[in-house]
Amino acid sequence: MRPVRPPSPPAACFAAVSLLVALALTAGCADPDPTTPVDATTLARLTSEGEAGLRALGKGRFEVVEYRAEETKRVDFADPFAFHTRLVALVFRARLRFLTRLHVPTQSDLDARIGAAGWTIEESYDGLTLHEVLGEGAHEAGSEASIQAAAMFVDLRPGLRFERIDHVR
Amino acid sequence: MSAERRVAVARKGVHLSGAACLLLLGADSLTLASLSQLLAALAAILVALVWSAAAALALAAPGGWIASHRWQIALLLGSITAATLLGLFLAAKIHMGPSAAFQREHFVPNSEVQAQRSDPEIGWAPSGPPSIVGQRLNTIDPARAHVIILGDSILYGQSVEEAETAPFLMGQALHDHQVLNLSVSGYSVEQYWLYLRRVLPHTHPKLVMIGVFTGNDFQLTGREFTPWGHSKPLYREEKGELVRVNSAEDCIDGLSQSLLFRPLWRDQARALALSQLLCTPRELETGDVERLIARLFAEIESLGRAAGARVVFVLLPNRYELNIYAPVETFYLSRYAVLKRLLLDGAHETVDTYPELLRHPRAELDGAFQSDSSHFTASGHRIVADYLVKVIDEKGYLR
Repeated sequence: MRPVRPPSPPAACFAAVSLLVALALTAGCADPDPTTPVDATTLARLTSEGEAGLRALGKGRFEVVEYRAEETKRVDFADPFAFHTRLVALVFRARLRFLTRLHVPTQSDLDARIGAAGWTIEESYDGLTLHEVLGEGAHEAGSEASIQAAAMFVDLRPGLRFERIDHVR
Repeated sequence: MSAERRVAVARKGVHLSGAACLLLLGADSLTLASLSQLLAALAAILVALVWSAAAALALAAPGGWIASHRWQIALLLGSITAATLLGLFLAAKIHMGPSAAFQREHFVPNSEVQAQRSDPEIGWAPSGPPSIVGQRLNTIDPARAHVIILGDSILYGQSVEEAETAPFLMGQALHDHQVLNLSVSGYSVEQYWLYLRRVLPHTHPKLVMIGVFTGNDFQLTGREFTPWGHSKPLYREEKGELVRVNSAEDCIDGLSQSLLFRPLWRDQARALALSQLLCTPRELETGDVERLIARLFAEIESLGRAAGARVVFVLLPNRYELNIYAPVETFYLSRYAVLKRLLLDGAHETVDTYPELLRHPRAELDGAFQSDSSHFTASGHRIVADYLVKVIDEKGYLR
């Protein structure tokens, strides 16, 4: 009887497996996002523009008593066309003092306003922004609120452009 | 069973288990997100198959049929593999014309003149004599002054009859002029410019209305591929000039229109993923897209003015550009605001249909859009047509 000869194994197979596993692993990690670095100069600009954006949002409604930038983070939204909206979010904390009574409507109230007499799209954008940043409810004149929010900058590659104040996403 | 045989069976089991694991790993790693990962996964599957076959043959019971026909079986399996690979290669090379997905979007059957044909300058365009224009194949009446309406499938009127489309309805109201619907499905801003440039010399335009679809005009203008598996022109503003910068047209069209890949182009997401994965087409960054679109708006306006026409841009939204319950979509994914800003920054005459649409009762508004929330129904076309006719009258665009 001829002895059973174990197949020489497949050192090649093991090598191939190792290579493939390595490839599969690296493929998942080796797709660096070409991001715009946020250097110190840029960070200073973003901080300044973020504060200006917050003050603009509060114009006639609240003043910014304190404003402190905390960190930047990247946010990426993709639409059904796989088109990416890449943003840099400057997360900040701020203390606001309300100049007048401010009532932030609920989402359903905001929704119900759409299309009503005197309504504009800009009004909805503004209402939704306040809702996202402050939450719904009333703030009495003279009262203060501390918030954590984000100044959102669209990444134009190259360049960052202030878009809006938003809650932290 | 002898000890040697048991060892051999155990070894066979180990090899086959290893091959099965590799096969599963490969199958699980199949993805369209990364070419290297896809190739690695396919290679893993191939190696697993070869491994399992080699183990089965090498460790076959001595004296059995498999053992005695080892080389024949190996030759047969090798031949089948080679024939399969050759077949796939040939299928990838056999040109079958535009994909099913593209035809579904752009093909009009039973027409004497083709409503769509690949066009090296514009990507695709209606073909026929210059007097026949747009995907609706309108015939130019040279004796009349023209109102030109140009857009994509929104104003072409996908899934509605021609008599229900906004341009047709406008033609009934503006009877002193011939309203020509130049719209072509899938077009984006540079294609409006290119097609207008081609058709305008054959008309007597008094008014040119460009329908800017906020649902995808922005995204597609910065790309050389479409979700329908067809290449399209890509321009970029360089040193003040509009320069065509396509780099992967042949790959996109060759692939999407091949026998092998044509069936895969049936859904848009897969078409997009495959186009991007295998052809690495060029895509502009956000800042470049904005600059390009601003420049194209200016070029379109110059073209119209040079032909003696007033140029008006009409913003055509999808149903949910503004959705209180979806802030991310409203603020970051919708291109309505950025397109509107670009038009206003360029001081272009602009008609925004969105506020007008939103002033309609919800039920009526819901009924104005098809289920894709983008294309108008017949009642949506009626709303848009009535509004545009009213604006034309109020602003005196035809006076």
